[in-house]
Amino acid sequence: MMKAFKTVWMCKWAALLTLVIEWLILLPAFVLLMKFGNQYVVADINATPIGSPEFLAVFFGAMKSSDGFSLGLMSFALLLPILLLTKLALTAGLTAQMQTGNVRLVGWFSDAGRLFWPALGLFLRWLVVPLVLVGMMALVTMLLPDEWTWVKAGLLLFGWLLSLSWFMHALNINVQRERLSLWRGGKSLFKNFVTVLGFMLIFALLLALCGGMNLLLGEHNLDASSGMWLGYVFSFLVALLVRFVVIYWQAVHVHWWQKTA
Amino acid sequence: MLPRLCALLSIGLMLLQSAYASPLRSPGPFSERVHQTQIDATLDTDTHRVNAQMTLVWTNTSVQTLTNMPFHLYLNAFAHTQTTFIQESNGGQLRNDAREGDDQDNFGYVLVTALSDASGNDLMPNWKMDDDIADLTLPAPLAPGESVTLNFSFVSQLPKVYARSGHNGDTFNFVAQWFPKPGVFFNGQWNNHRYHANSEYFADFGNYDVRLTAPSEFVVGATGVLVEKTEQDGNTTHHYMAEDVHDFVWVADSKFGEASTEYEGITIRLLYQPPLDEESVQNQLDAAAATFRWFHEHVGYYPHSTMTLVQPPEDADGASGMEYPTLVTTITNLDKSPFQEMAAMVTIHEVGHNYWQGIMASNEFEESWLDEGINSYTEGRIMAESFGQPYAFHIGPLNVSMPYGHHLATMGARVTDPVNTPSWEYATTGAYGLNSYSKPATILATAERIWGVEKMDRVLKGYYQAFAFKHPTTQDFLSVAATVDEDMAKFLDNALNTLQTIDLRAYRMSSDKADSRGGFDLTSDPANPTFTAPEETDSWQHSVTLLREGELMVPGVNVNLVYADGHVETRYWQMTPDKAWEKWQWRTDSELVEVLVDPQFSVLLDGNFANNNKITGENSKQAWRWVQSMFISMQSAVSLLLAW
Repeated sequence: MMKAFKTVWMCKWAALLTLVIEWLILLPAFVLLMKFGNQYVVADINATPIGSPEFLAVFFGAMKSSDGFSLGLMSFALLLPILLLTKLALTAGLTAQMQTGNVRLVGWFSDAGRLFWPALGLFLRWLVVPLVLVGMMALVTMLLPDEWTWVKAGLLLFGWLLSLSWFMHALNINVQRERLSLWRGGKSLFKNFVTVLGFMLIFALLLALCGGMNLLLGEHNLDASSGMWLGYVFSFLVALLVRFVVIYWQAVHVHWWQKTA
Repeated sequence: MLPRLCALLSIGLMLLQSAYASPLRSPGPFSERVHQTQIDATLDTDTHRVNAQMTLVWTNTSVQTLTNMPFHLYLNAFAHTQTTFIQESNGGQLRNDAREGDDQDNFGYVLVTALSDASGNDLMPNWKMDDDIADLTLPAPLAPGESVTLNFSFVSQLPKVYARSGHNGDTFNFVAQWFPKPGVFFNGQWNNHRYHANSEYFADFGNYDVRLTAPSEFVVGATGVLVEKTEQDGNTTHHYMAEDVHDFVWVADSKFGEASTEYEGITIRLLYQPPLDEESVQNQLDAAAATFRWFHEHVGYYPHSTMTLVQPPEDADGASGMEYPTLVTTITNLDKSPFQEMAAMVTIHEVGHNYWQGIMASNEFEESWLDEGINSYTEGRIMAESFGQPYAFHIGPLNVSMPYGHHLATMGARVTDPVNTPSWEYATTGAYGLNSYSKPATILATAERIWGVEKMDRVLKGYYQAFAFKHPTTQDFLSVAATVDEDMAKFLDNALNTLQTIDLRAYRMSSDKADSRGGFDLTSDPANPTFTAPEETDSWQHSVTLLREGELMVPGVNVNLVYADGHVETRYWQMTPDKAWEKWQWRTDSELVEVLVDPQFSVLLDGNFANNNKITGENSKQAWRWVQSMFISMQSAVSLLLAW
């Protein structure tokens, strides 16, 4: 685990840079929504608390009357897939760099570009994995009593995390050589199964922590008395925390790959 | 002697049955009881077919002598692909359900196989059937006050359900609109429309005495009250009686679970699809009880002693969310949800129909808003005031209440027809839905917010008291509103009967440092007036222009004027029909930073709330609150969900 932490620290600039890239991708939508949001959606926050029926009425009114605001929402929807694909490429590039034990920014971007298509191919093939694993968990939940809500949610989360781990195992093989990477990733996952289970508990806790931080951030921003700059600082910190958690997940998988390779 | 004894025994038996269970909570009659209908029906659960005999005693309550009598044969709307219903509904569609295919199973009919009068004379030659309507030439003219007795034998074949009536191909049988049903002699003429895609029904009040036979393992629910159950050869006959109702439906399913509760003499019975957890069952019973509680306080008395809630199975969604007297169907998924109240909301809506349609019985073919629109309005109020759930949907900080849900639907739609339009004459099915449900609900909610809930309650109560069991029209509703408030009635009239719209705007706003008075002093030396240059003072000069677009009038609304020092001043914008704008100019010691027209959002009919406010540049930077939250939440969700 300490080795993984060291790798995470080694990738600290990558975490920051990923964040900057993500925000740059979303920037056009952000600018449009801020400009037209300020023009059409902002009303006395005491009369239209954010999320209230009154706020939604104003929000949808703006969608009807402002082409600029609608364009902002549309561009946000269009930029999300671009964001997703960029993150995939950067993840593949970073995995390749982590495997070398020496993360260099130039190498990272170069690997990201080189490995984009293989990683995308792996991702598309991988989609069947959660379909099967989460599907199986969903079947199991049907056998459980209705009131076991948390157990059911836990089982579905377990299926999903197992699928994600499978992807990361496969990605470690994929960045070396694409052939049979999904299959070999699965084999690697089940070789490390017990360790993976233990780590998944830690990761689930980190996910809960990040989710909680996001909720706190949301509550802070919705509060009429809170200030804008503090909101931006909190947003940056939460986003950075999320990046470190994600890189930690990737680093652990790289170390498992190094052990079994 | 023997016939007398039999008659006495029969009367005794009837009294005994009345003592066992009565369809009414207090002695009737509440309506004219135009007909007395006896039916003896047997359901074949394999073929989903009903064989029945019906004796109809129909009384001419009009002042005219009648020579003919039209009937509805609603199930024939599903008989073939050229019926009005199927043609108008794009081959057989209703709401989210559609005819599954061209197999025989998907078609249905009701066929009269024998018809005679009280003396046994064959009337089949007088019976002219035309798809889903029929006309009977009466054997003799029927004078005012006279009755005619008609004996029918008929067969009802249920279709696979996609539009209210039918079966699911398995054990669920929803037997609605299944018997020959007389039209209504209304305003001096027969009213007997075909079954249209965009319409429900119109019928006269009467009493029903019905025996329903089905295999004993089937649980049966029906309009009215169960007075007797007898079993023979594996079949059970359920004897139901209903009084002062305008329809009779029944349901049979061997898979039903049952639960019930009592509310002030009303037995609320839930027939559900097991398994269903206790909390969800209780939620349904509570929703129905909350509806009665609200109506008793705000509208009037529910005279019937029963209310049956029926949950159709998932593969019979077409039967869901429908109202009949004393029996309604819920949605198919009754699981109580932590974030949306759809299961309770639909039940509240359908039980509410037992007032606006079950008791008022307006003409839904021609004025559907009188039922659906008023009911959609009261449903929102029941959710908030009586069921303790103001939101139909609530997740995190995101909340949608019923009035705003209807507002969003209304302002998002094109205005093509007046609300009060016959159901088949709307431009589109969407226009029928909007003008029957959301728009009238928004109109009534606007009236409530402008003239006050107390006045709106007086309208609803007055409408019930004056027109219960009397088939009221839009004009009747408006006449009651006029007795409460002339201006409100005028607003309702324009909003319901015309295409008039309203959009309030904060059109212009400025707030600048005010100068002191400067220039020439004309009262000084005329040969050489003194001149003083204007100087900037500490006070601010404000100018605000408000605009009313559209022809629809409301008396006025509040306007919030927010100053830089945090002070909020509320002014009233009094509107007049001959002036679409209002301009205010004044001075204060603080800068004006925001104008918000109608801060209480009273005019829910306002076409666009986004133009109700103006904010100066310095203060219009609040969008970050939700834009930033939205971006970070989405970014985090993508990162955490995929661990990339």
